[in-house]
Amino acid sequence: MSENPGLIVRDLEIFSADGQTLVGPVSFDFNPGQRLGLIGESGSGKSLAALAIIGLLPDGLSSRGSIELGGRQLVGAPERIMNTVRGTDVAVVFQEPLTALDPLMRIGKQLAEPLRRRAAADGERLTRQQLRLLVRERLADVRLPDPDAIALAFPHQISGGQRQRAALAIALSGRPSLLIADEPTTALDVTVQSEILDLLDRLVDERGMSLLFISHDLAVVARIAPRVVVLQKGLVVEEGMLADVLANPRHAYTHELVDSARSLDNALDDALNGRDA
Amino acid sequence: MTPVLEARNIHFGYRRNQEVLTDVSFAVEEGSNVGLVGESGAGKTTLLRILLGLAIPSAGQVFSDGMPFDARDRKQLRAYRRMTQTVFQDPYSSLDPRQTIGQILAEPLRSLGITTNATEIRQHMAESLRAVGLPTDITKRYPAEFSGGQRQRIAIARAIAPNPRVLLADEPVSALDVSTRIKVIDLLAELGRGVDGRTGMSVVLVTHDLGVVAALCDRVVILENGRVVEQGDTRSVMGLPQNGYTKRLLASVPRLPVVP
Repeated sequence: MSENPGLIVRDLEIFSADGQTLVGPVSFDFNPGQRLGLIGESGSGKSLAALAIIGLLPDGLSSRGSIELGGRQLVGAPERIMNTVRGTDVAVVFQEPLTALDPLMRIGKQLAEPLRRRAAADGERLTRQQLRLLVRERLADVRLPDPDAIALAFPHQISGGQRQRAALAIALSGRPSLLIADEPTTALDVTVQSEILDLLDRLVDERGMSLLFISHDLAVVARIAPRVVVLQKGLVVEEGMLADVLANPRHAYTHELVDSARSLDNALDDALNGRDA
Repeated sequence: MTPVLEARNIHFGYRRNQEVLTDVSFAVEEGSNVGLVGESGAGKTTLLRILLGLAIPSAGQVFSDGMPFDARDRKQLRAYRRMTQTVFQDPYSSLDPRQTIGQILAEPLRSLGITTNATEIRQHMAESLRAVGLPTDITKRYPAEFSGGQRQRIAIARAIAPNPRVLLADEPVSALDVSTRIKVIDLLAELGRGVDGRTGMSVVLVTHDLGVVAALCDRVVILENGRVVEQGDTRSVMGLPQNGYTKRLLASVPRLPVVP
């Protein structure tokens, strides 16, 4: 990693085709190597904000304002620029790995392509043998058992947790400085979720990446990001250290979120301690 | 006391394939809430289908009030349906978008032969809407006009309209937003206890979420790969888990940090 730029989002607005404001204006930022949790419920605009950052807003949607990544302006950047930004500066892991992966392509091949492109961008040409070894290494990095077998598998042949690991390997293949994880564990079983969160935590740490972690679940965010921004109906209603937000939510909506999460957590606490709820 | 619903040594398998359920037994006592917990592939949905009479076990038997229940017997099935109603995970797909709320609520009353009298139907509808905390004047409106949480309340109102004794709920809150989730859980807990002069019922909750089980269920059945690995009082199973899988499941639940 040469440089590791932070992300500065200023007055970002996202509009629908008929000119309705869907998001914003929102502003948030974080320094290189930091982690930020973006919290909100369905329709709060958290995923749209993520798509705007990587320049992949759905057709018809447009954005205004400023998204600066490592000093480079991404709003209005030509597609040619965004093509190199995606993958090498910023990469995304989505909620559902089945939609992120090509169902008709073996996992190894899906991973080889961005690895080859990254090498080419660095002025290297990889032989097939080198590429195969690299694919295997990257699959082992995300703690996939038997990388050789996984490389030859199609997405439907492996489990949901393994697919999410493979999607993560692909996202990390371009050595991005910023990783956006959009509800990456929501579709997974709770034991698998726990493993993926551990893995993310370690990889982000080891590589000094910045992480934008999007979730509706305060307890999940608490495991991975110390600072949070709370979105409601496209607007930032609160931001701060998660511990402070949990102890002292200021906005009514955050209050509701925290109370709800707290009451389930308390019920769990009582049960774990053998107390009647 | 005879359990209101009981599964005894249930097996289920598709032809030539590995069994989906192996020797599953548990009982639902009148008025107590039971959580069926497991991860994907544990057999939760198959078990639910059997409890609903939508699938026939390859061995073993479901008992209702101590009597063997045969889902192939139409008369028995009809009586069973009056006693056992269900709520599904996704209120966006479980309500017919072309029917008004009134039509949705009246449907089970008619099809289960509870009443065809218009005045009685109106009374039943009003009563179940009140019980789920919705205004009684929404019967002419359509599902699309309501939020996810409200739709799930409508689905619950439909389920409780025939006054069932057991409510089978399949992940009833996992498609809902966090702030809505707790309200629906509170509602289910209230309905279990009995509100507004309604008699209480047993809620059987199929879920992967142990927080929801802790908040709602007196008893919990832990399923792994189609087998019951542990069951008992929620607070003893969760407070002192014996099985390795149960322990791992409990350790995996994301928790909020302790705030001083």
